[in-house]
Amino acid sequence: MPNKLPKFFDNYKICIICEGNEEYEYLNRLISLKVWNEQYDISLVNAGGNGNIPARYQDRYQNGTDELVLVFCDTEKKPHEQYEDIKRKINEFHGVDSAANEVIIFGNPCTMQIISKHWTDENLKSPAKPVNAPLIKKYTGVENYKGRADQIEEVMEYVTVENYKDMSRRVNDLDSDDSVTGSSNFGEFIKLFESDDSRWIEEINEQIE
Amino acid sequence: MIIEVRAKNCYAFEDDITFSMKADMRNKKFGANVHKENNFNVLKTVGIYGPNNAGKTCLIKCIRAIRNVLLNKKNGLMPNIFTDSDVCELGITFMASGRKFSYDFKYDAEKEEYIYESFSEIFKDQHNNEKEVCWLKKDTVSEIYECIDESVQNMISVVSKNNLLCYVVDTSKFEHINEMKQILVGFAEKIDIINMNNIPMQHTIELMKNKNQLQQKVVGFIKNADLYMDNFEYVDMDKIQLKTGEGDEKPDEKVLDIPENIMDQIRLVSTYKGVHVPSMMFDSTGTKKIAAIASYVIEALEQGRILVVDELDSSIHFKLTRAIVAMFNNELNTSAQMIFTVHDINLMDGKRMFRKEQIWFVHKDEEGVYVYSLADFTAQQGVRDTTDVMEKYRKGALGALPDPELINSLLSIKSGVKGDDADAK
Repeated sequence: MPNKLPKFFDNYKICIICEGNEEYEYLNRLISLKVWNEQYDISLVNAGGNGNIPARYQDRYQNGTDELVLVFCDTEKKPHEQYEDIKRKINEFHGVDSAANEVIIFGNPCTMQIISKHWTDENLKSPAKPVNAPLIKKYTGVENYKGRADQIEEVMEYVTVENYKDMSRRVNDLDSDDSVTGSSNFGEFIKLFESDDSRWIEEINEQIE
Repeated sequence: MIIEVRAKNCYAFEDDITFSMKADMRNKKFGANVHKENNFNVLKTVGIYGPNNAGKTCLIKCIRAIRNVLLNKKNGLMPNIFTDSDVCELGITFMASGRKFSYDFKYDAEKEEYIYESFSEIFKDQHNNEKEVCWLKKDTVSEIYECIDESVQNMISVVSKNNLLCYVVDTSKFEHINEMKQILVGFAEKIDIINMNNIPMQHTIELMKNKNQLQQKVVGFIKNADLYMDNFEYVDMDKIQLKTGEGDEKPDEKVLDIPENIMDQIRLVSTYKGVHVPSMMFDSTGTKKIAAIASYVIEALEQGRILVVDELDSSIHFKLTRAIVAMFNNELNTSAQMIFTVHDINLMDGKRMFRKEQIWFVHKDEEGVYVYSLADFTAQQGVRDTTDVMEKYRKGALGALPDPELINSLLSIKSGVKGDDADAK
């Protein structure tokens, strides 16, 4: 009788270091909706704040468990000091000037820029939650959105397979220059996560090694 | 030679597990790694991988418990802490004198009683099918009693359960039971179990005391291990020259510092470029471990023993660990067997070193503990003879891989680095 084997997956392992709860819960929702190619086994790490991102990124990269380690964060307002600090530290870690551009998924000025694209074309100009709260209420019914865990959970129920396609299209139309307010490169990563061809993982790694 | 170990409700193993050293002869690769005798094919070496605290050592504890039970020693058996049952079940299939036998028992750890035991011989017919002939079956729960010696059969139900049958009756009066005892004891006596983290030097010292062929072979092994050493010997006390300086020099390894053994140990002398030094004080931890394991390896190869080693690669260079395993795999080894746990994935080499069934894993998750071999994976699961096993294991595709989150400790220590809370914006 053959021995019982544990459950594990022989997929491409991608780890995404998420800045906080909003980023983590959003990607977690997309993963649970199975909108991406099943050959990618995407695991998430909640960094619990942008100050922890470089340390988490370095740790995950050096532990060697994943074939690719990415970061998902927002740029905040100009002059994007903390965001630039994350980029600088990642570039210094790899000793490659443009490494951060290869591995950071950003939303400018905030992650809600991406999430809100599930429901509207409207571009967010401020990362401030009180400013964006009316828009969130309009599409999800969540009042006075402050990013609390229960509010995030409620908002995520309005992220669906159906409006994922709308979000993809809308995010794709955004500028991918992170210095531009209302920009994001999430659309580029969506195409990669949906792709049958996994060579892009190796290509990114080659760029940062 | 061990062919199979079975366990249920012992130590970490709640459900039944089977650890097999049967060679799959459909696979022609590395035929020399297989001991072939009377149509039985047994692996000469097996390496066990897995994270810390998954159950690798528990597998070794099962082998030790079986050996101790067969040798009428304290068995140390413990039921799994997550079950209500006190009954530990163990079984072993093994080769002895070219014959294949199987022995199983159930031990009630609370009552300290052997409530079940069975012993069979396994034959192969001309079509290679196996046929089991029962010599003894004592099932005190179902009240089934069978024995090849008819006169024993009548008394099984009334003899004490606090030990194996062969230890509670005068076996000399019963032909088959007496032979069974000799087979079981002879097999168990051949098993050496060592932990490289705690390996005693005493065995090597005892062999070194005798200026015989075995002693020379142990010295040869140590010198051949390429430790930059000219000689290794056990010398008379008057030849000891202690130049240890002012310091309170003591061996790092606690096990080597036992007072009653210290005088014996001090007489082990290594020679480097003509200078004699006490091995215990001057040699590295790794060198001392090589010296300690040397006697077990040599005895195993010389006398066809079964060497079970926990953490084989502890303090030893990967090339040396590999060389030791290669000795056992070699065609010149016709009767010795080695089972070892190891962390060094350099050994996980299916291209030059092992057949698939020689690489085993112990994996633990919330469902329980799994014991399985690389051979349990199918080609559909991506494991072929040509597969880069090391890479596959490193990737986590074979399980039995830890995923440490030590960064949390660092972040906790350096909590000032925490930065803004993303949700507080």
